[in-house]
Amino acid sequence: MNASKPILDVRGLRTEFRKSRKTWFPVVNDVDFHVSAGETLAIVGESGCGKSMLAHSLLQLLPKRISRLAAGDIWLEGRNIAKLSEEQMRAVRGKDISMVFQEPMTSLNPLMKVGQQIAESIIEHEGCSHDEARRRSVALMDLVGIPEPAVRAGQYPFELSGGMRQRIVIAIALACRPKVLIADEPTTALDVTIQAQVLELIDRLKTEIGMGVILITHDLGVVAEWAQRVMVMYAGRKVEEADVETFFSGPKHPYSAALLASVPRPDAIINGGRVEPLTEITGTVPPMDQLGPGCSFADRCERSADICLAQQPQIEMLSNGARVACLRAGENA
Amino acid sequence: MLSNSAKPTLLRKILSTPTGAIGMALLTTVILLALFASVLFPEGPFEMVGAPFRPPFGEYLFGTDMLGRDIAAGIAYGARISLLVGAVATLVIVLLGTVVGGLAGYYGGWIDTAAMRVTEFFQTIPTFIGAIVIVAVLGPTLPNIIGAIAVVSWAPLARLVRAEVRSVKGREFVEACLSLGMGDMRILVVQILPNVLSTIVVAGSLMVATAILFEAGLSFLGLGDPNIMTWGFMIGAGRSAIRTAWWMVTIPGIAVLLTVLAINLIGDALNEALNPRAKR
Repeated sequence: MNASKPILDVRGLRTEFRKSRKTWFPVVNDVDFHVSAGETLAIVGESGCGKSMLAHSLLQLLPKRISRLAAGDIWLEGRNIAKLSEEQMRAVRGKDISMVFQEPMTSLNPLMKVGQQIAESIIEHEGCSHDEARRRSVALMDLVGIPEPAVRAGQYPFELSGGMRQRIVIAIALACRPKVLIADEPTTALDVTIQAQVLELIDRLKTEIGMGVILITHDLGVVAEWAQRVMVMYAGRKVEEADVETFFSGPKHPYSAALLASVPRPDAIINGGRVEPLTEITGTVPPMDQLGPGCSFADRCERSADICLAQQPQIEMLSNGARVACLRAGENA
Repeated sequence: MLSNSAKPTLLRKILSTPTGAIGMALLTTVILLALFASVLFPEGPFEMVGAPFRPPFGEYLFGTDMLGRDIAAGIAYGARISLLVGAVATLVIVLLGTVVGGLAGYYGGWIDTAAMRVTEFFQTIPTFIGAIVIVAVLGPTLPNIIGAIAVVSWAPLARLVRAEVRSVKGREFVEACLSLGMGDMRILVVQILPNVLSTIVVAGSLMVATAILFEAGLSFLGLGDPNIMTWGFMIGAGRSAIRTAWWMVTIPGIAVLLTVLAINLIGDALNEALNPRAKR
């Protein structure tokens, strides 16, 4: 475990969406977590479990008309950014906390030269001259491993490959040396070889800049290789949090165990000499506005008992150091 | 890889298509005529230079009208007004349409609703009759005519810009800009509008032709500025003599036709040059 003081500390975060005029339902519910400098926290879970909602909540990027930050604090180096105004929040976005999006094809402006797009972010936050911003954007492109950065800076996104574009997106995110980088499935749209390069790049820059990284993914292989800690989310709640070694040696929440069991394993096929069917988790994530009083995973859980349907499990620290929200986690399966 | 020298300029792209080349040639002729009107005809369009009802291609290139005024001089001076009205009215329409459409499309919500109700109000007015009423009430001066044309024509452009801005705003790079802390105005002006520009340019170029037709129509009906020689006025004045002196209406009519045709051809060529996907 990283003993240093966390750079980002989120306490009891609850984000709600509007259901009708007066009623709201939570999409992120009572989530606590923290990230330290130089550390990567992976957030995993299926589609629709609230990972991206959580990321957008941190930056308050959700549309104000239909969503609200209902409760909780977001401490960024001793400052509670959950309480900031939109104007103050703008100064935080891209400067203190940056985000890398999933699709490098669409997250760049097609009509602006890539060097200019990096420079825009620098000018926005540091108000330096255009020449200075241009010089720095070329240096950033060099930092993220783009060959001939001065030439590439004058090119448009369509002239670059997917991997190069994602490097540009990362360069934009890192332009003002953020304290926290949120990478929302940064490699999902890239092929496997490029994926490793991009993740290695993020890992290297994390140490160089000394930032904390929140890596949102559903690829447990990526988690095992690049993260120090894992947080599993289900239906807007944190269900398990542990460091990577503890997590992969035996996840305690039935959902985490099921996620891990559903990872394709080529060796199992080869060793057994026959193709084994992939384990799947039956059912889907329940709609967030139709959650019952009990554990939201109960109806898909192999180990659910009557109590699971009636009572919401709280996060508890287990003997191996993992924090798990399951009423039956202490029992032996 | 495209280098700067190999990248064809917009002008070259337009000229490379037959429609664009013809349109450009015609429009250039009209512009030169307008620029050199006072050199070619220093006496002005209202001066009686010879006998009335002289047929064209004789002593005077385009003949004279019932007061002995040189029709060629009228065409040259009228070109100035047509181009001026077309350009200024379009500028006003594009500014108004882009501001209203851009804000409505970007912010959505009640701003959008309000802006769209206002544009609907303007769209329900029959355009030409609306322009006639405005000029009739405010008086036939050139600024009023330009204003009237702009007032009745800006709404469709505003709706077009709004739709385009909405679609660009939904793209991920706008969200990426928001996540970088850029302000709304900066995103709208620096990031979104350039993506909408080609639509505005094409719609605006066709708007020039419409504005010229409107001005000609108003002048024809006698709602033009009486101190200015325009093509529409010449057609209107020559109407009574159409059976004895056909050239008095035909020649300014052809001038209007060719100018509008030229601008439409350029608009089509622009559309093709700026939007490669529209090519069949």
